[in-house]
Amino acid sequence: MDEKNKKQILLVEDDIALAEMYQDKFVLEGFHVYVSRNGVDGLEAALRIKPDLILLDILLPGMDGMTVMKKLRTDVWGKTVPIIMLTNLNANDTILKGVVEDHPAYYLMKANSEPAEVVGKVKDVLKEI
Amino acid sequence: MKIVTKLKIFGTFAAVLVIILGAIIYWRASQVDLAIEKDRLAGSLVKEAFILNILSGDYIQTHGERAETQWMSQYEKLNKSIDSYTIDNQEEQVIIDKLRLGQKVILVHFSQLQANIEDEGSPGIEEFEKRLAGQLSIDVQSIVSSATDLADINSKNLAIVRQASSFFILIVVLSLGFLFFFTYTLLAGSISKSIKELIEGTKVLAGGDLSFRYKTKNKDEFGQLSLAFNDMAAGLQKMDEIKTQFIYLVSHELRTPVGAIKGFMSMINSGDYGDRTKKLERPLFLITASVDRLLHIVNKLLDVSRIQADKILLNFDNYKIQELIDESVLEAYPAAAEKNLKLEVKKNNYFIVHADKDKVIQIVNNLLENAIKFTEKGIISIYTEQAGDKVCTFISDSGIGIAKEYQPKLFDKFDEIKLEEAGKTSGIGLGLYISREFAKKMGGDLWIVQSEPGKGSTFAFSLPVSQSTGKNNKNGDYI
Repeated sequence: MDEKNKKQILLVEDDIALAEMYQDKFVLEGFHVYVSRNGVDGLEAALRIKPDLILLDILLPGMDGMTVMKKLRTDVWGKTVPIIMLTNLNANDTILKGVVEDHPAYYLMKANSEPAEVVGKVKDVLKEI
Repeated sequence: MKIVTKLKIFGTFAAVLVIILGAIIYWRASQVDLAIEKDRLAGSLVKEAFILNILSGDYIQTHGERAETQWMSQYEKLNKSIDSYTIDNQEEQVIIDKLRLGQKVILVHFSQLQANIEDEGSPGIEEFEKRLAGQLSIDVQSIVSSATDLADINSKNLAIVRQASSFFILIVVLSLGFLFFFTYTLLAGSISKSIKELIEGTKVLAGGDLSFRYKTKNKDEFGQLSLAFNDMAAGLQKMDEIKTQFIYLVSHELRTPVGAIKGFMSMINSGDYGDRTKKLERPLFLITASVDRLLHIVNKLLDVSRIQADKILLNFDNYKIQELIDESVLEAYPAAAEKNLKLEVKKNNYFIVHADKDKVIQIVNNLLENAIKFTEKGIISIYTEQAGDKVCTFISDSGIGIAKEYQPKLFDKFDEIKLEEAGKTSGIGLGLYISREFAKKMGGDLWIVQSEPGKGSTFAFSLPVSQSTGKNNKNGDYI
């Protein structure tokens, strides 16, 4: 696929192994992947690159995924960009309470989801928009 | 008040009771002794009077000197007896006065008789002597009679004193005994009540309710023990919370690297990193299986910590239970096939439950996983039936079964010791605990229907029937 036509994914994940694993899978599936290792870098990269979709871990050093998402939603572009949260947290955990309703176009996926499942989810979300 | 103080007071009270009882018995015994002594004196009086009577007769008959001396000596004895007698009442006073008067009279008559005897030979003296002798006899008999009256009075008095003392002592013993028993019962009751409360509390704590605390205002030893118990319970609860938090953190931290391994393995297995060599197939298969098992354990530990922290999120909806069972059976099929076990599902498409889909599948998975693990040959069957407002799912196997003594422990956490003998301790003993907690959270329950060593087991779980779809319709499809 032409590099220009490739869908751009921003992966914000602090775990090296997980980041590399998802990166490998998305590259194999024809995506262009950017990787950030913390929340601050992830927010900066998102606003700069403006990817088609963001895969965001919740527990991140510096700035957690929830804060990154809230800040993105205040931006004109970031208001609508689809975000998939990757987390081991249960939706009942304190950190997730009260955010679901306030922030549309975000999806929750278990961090231990198979790479193929995550790719499938990303493709589905991109089809929707 | 402290128990030791209560015991001291009770001991002092008991000692005082014993002293009072002793004093009363001593006092009554003295009264009886006094009455016996008086009775003895009265008896002695009768005896002396009676002897005097005999000696009077002897003197009247013989007029001898010896008889005269004996009479005088006996008269003195009688005199002494009368003097030594203690007068206690008017009646006795009258008798004693009568005796003293009689004494004087007989002495006069005896002296006259003596003089008369010396004047023997005077005309008409014999007749006079007879009269004097007769008078003396009558007087002495009168004394004997009075002495006997006194003796009778004393005998009666002795009987009365004895009876009264016995009765009095009996009443006192009974009263003091009752007082002692009442106080003892009160004290023992208070101690026993406190001990029972402590035993009950210990049982509650041993049963797993670490939030139990005593609300005591007592300042005695039991109050102090209750406070110490509360401190111990608080310590245990704190440790339990730390343990739960620790399990949560460890399992949560483990999930990320395990997830990465699992993800990479799935990519390797699906050929994302190129073709696998033949040699690598077996090791890769084993790594994948081990990672799956590890993830399974980590997920169970996370479930336990969430159950304990009451952080289980349930997404309720209405589901055909058969569809959830089928999904689980499909997952369990390879493992059953590997052991040549037949999975028999009696289908029923009419029961709709109100539950969390993932949790129901997890329960069925767990029960099927156990059934397959502990069954070497035969059939594993699954069927559902409705009981009131619940739908019950039964999973039976023809496996090793569980002895009765181990069955109550089946739903405890981390307790797979009961399977040691069977050499089947590959799990961590959390599945049944988690499954039952999930079933309960969804408004149902999970229990063992029957199990016998060598004859297999049947487990069941219940879930509430969906209310919004109305009653399950056995004659048609669900609405």
